[in-house]
Amino acid sequence: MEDNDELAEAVVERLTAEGHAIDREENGEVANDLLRHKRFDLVLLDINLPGRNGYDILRSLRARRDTTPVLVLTARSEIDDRVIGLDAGADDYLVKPFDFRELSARCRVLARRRSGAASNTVRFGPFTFDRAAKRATVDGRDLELRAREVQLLEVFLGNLGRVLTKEDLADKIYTFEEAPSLNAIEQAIARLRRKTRGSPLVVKTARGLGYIADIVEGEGTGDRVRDGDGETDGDGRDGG
Amino acid sequence: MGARGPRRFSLRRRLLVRMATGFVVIIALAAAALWTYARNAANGTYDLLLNGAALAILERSSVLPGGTTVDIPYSALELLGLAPDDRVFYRIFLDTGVTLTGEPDLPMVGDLVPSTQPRYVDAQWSGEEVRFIFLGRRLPGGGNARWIIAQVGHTRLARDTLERSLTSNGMAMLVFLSLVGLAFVGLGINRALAPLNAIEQDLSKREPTDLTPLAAMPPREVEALISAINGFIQRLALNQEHTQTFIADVAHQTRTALGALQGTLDSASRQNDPEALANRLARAQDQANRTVRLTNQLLAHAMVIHRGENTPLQAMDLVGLARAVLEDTLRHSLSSDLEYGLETASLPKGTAWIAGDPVSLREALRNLLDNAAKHGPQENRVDITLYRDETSDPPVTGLLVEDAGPGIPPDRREAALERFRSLGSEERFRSLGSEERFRSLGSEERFRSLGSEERFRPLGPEGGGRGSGLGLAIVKAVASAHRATLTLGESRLGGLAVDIRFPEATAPEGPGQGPEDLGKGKAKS
Repeated sequence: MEDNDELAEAVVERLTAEGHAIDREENGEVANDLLRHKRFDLVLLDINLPGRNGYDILRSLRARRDTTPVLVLTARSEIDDRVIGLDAGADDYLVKPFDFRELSARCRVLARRRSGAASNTVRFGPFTFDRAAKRATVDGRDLELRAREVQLLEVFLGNLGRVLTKEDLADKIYTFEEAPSLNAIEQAIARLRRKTRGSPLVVKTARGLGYIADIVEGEGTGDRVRDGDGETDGDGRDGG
Repeated sequence: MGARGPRRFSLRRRLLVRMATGFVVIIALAAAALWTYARNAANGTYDLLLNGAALAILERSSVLPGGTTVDIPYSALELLGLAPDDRVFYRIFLDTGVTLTGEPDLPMVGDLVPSTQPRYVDAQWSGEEVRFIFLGRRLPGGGNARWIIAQVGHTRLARDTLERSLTSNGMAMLVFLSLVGLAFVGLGINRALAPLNAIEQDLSKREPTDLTPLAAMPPREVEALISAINGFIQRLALNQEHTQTFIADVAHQTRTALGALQGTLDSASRQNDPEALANRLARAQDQANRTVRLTNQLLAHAMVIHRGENTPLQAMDLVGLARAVLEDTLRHSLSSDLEYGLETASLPKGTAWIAGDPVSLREALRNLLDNAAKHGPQENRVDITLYRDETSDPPVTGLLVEDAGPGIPPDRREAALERFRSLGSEERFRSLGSEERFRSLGSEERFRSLGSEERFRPLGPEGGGRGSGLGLAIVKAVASAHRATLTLGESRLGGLAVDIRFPEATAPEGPGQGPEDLGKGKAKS
């Protein structure tokens, strides 16, 4: 949803060229109705829409328990807005003007997160995780995860793109009877990281802050943006 | 000097009204005093006459074997005749009440004690106010001593005339003095306001662009006002100068950047070789990204300066802010090899309260992180340390951002804080010649780095390329708006260390008051 024609056309052209089907709506009121009646894989939402403010649309979308991923586009650069956007239920944001390569990369990440959440088997490129069997594979090779690592993986997959502190993780994977050990968590994460190396699932540590996991672009989509750090994936494929 | 609306008070009128009221009160009090004084004076004068007449009468009274005789002397009546228009009444009587001569039914005093001291009484008689004297004389008579008492009355015409004339003369003088006083006050006000009028003239005749200080030599009383106005004018002038410099900078920078973009696109449109075309287009895209980043930085710079001048600081926790910014940065740097860390171990209670503007501080921190990411190597490490330094006086709360990048040599650090003076700015300015238009934003270093490798390196959220030369200027503006000291140095990781030390602020009482409680839980490390 975007009311600037040129920007909207450019976005539509870019995403269509990548093989996505796009509906574009420029009026906030109409857009809100559309979201009520139709399901989308991803919503690109401009904040300054005529008719209805983007945040309102987002809030009412979330109030209907609709979990469609939303990427907010905003021209306002004050970061307050970004925070408000994320609080209102946006999954990510981009400040206008943005790099189109960045836009499509973000769109892919959001779409993938969603595909992972929907089914029993999570599949991100060469990485799969079978929730029922608690089995994770990369290129068909079993990662042979231990119970703790599976628990962590489940938590991470449920909180992609969110920073989790060690305490958050401990709360989620230990029961009341167990004595939580932050040390054990660190070790488990280190093992999980080593095992998932080469897959699009990245777990990153920030000292003093916590952990964040997300799906990063992996396969060569002909997109130069990610070629720069394609080494990781290259290594992974070689290894697999 | 603003329009004088009906509700606006006039200094002159207010002062005059107050002075006049004061004078009226003084005149009223003086009149009362004057009237009492005049009455006493008039009574005193004419009471002497009454006393003289009574004495003369009593002197001529004598006790004879046949009784007491009184002889009204002519001198007594002559004495009373000094008040020519007043009527005279008299009665001579004994303390037994027997009237010897005169009018027997003149008003009496109930508690009269015969005495040689005169007693004066005002009473109504024959339709007029009459002043009487009672004066006694003890008559010799062996054991059977007697008092003879003279009662002499006088109407008040002469007394009232004297009283009125004394009062009115005195009042006339007072009123005259008051009027003269008010006139002086009026003149004084005009005189006192004269310097203000001069200022008004000066200001109203000015050209809008004339921001020189007021030339008026102010009297001491309005000196503070004049220097306040001059201070204001000075700030305005400085502000205008900043704005002009800023606009000039923005114009120059954006035109140059857009010019470079145009140039690259023009060059691309003339390429026949697909590979060369792709190369030019990639360069144009890179240039567009730099232009975007430049524009964002320019606006951010303007925003932090504006906020620094207009936004009151609030109590806030730097830990929450740093965590929020870091999480946001982290979310978008997953695919990079950048490592981030937040160190808060030395903080008491794990909080770092300062008086700050969260929006500006976020912008500053974000710029520092961006800088580290853009200028550092691919495998960079950025550490944010929040600390409290108790050893300094007064204790300060500090924000230290360190990276493992190339750093800035000591002799370039000061210049790096200036707007558009990122490393290599000299080269940049030289490069602004027409033949090198599309390098305009870059330094020599950067241009060299625009080889194929650099051009395709991953782009951050705001586009790639090297710094616009504004990142540290933004940080500097934010620091100075917070009265914080900003120091560039070498980090423990070998790169640049940016240290911002905030003056102490007390933490607000009670939890949950921090505007920045955005951190999702506590982190320990």
